[in-house]
This record gives sequence, C-alpha cells and structure tokens, in this order.
Amino acid sequence: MSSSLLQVGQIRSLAPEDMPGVAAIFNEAVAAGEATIDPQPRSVEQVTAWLTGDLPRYEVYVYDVGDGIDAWGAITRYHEREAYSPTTELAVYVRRSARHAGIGRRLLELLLGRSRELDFHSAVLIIFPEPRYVIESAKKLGFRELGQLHSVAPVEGGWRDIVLLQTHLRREEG
Amino acid sequence: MIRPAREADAADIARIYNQAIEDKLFATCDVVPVTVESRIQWLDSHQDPYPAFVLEDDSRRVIGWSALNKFSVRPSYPGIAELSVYVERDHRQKLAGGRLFMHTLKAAKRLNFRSLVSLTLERNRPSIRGLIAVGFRRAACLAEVAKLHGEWVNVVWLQKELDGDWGEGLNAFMGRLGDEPLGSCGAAEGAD
Repeated sequence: MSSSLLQVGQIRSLAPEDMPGVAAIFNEAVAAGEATIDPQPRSVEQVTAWLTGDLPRYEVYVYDVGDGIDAWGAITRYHEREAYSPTTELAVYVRRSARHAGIGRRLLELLLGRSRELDFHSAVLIIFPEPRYVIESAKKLGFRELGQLHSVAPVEGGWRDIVLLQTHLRREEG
Repeated sequence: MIRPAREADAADIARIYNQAIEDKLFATCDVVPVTVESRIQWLDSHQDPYPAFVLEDDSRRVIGWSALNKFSVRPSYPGIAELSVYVERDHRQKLAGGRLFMHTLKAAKRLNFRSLVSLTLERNRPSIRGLIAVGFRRAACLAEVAKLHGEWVNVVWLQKELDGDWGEGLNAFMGRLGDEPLGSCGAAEGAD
C-alpha cells in the first residue's frame, strides 16, 4: 500500500475487496482526530454498512494506486428524514502519506459531478476548522462556509468545533 | 405540571405532534402523521440522557411535550442534544412552550450536556424567536436543504452552550413572558 507523489493512480468505483482499505484510511483519520462523523474506529463491517447500505442512491469511489487504495470519497445520506433526501453529505478521506497531491480535491470534484447527475439539489460537508486548506479547497469547488457549532465533536482530550459547508447543484429560480 | 413522559402518553404525544404536521407549521420535517405505536417505540428510546417530558393542564390533560434527542446529524456526539418542544394547537400562544423549554433546559444541564442544538425550519419564526430569547445562537442556515409540502425549505442550526450564564438568559426570557423566575421550576412546578 505504499505510495509516493510520483505514483499515478486512478479513481474508480468501490469494489467489495476495497473495504479493508477504506476502513483503514477512515480509522487512520479517526485516530488522528480528523473525522467529524465518529470518534470511534469502525470495523470493516460497520464501514461497509455505512457506505453501501444505501446503494445505489449513493455512490463510493476509491483512488486506486495498483497495490491498494490511497483515498476514497462517498456520496452519503445527509439525514434520515425523507424530507432531506434532496441533500447529500459528501465524505472524502485521504491516507496521510498521500496528502497534498490533489487527490482529495479530485475526488470531491467527481463526487459533486456525480451528485448533480444523481439529481441531488445540494451537497453538504461537515468538517473541522483545521486544517484550513481543506475548507479553501472546498470553496474553490463552489462550497459556501455556513457557520460552526462550537465545541461539539468529541476528540481525544477535548471537543472540537465543526464547520458546515453547502453547495447547490441545481438551484431553482427565485 | 411537567413530568417525565410515560408509555400511556404516547397517544397525546402523537396527537400534538400530528397537529404540527396538519397545521403546516413548518415545525417538523415529517409530513406523514405518526402513529401511536411509533410513539411507544419513541418513548422507549427516550430514557436518560435523552428524556421526554409532558406538560399537563389543571385537569391533567396533556397539552405539550418536550424531549432531548440524539443529535440527528451526528448521533455519535455525546456532548450535545437536539431539543424538541411541541404544544397543543389551542395553547400555542400561551406559556406552555416556554415552560417546557425551561424544564428541558434544566434537565439538559443536570444530564451534563455541553450544549443544546436545534435544527429549526427558517419559516418557523416563533420557534426561532423563542430559542434566541433563551440564549440560542444562530450557528448556520442551510438553504433549500429539504423539501416539504412541495416547497424548498431552509433550516437554521441554533446552538446554546450550557455552561456560564444560561440561567440568566432563562430568567430574562421568563420575565418577558410574565412568568415566575427560574427558581420556581422544578418538581413542584405548578400548572399553567
């Protein structure tokens, strides 16, 4: 699963055999206090249920580097209530050793395009205020920063703020 | 009086909630009436630290209910709870909502929540006004995030941190409602 900035990977749809890699990348982020969704690591089964329980309405993509994956991105259910179904929450996780190479941004761009094609009205991101480059990168793709909840996300040693971003994929007139 | 909700309250809780749906108050994102059976299950899941309360009038008729819920967008967050308050149609302009607010905020403090969150439809202006009056802060507004009765709706996220001077804000709010100050709220609380 080694990778370097020179290695060229490709984005493709999730395959069942990717799940251990997907879970490992997620749990690396959890351990580093970088995941807003859950302070606890998730098993391969839990990650599979989370990301594939709602297929085909939602989609998952991975960044394949030949001997494994270095990143993944998902179009997920934003809220359990049916009235919220026009909105999706996007999630992107990049292995630490593969960051700062534009992979996350490429995945997010793809997820936005697919969300539009899947007829979602808007997409939401819920992330931490730091590192700031993540927010800046999302803004370049059209997200607006809406605001924060203060001191709510449990991480080791304390509580973090979360930032809410949204972009509209098919805004109607008016 | 306000007391913990029990299974026998399921029909009243469903009736009051369904009034909010029927009246298109934009007080909930549910559009289909809930059943009594579903409220029995709901009550079953509303034990500490996520309690539900009912408000009775002098004749012990349930005229409102409130609850602390897991934060619906991030159920894994133990430090915050989402607030629900619903009041019987004919009592909406009275003190019922304020009393339930106050009682539930006190419970949240006792249960050691760090803050309360409310995801309120922007069109539901009375609720937003009430939440801001008791010290909630507008954290974010999601535009056209849901579709209700065929219309796009905006949802405001409000937050109230429970440390610090939360009591003062409540006292000020209840003062504006013309009710007794915070100290009167508790087990011996009287009916409206």
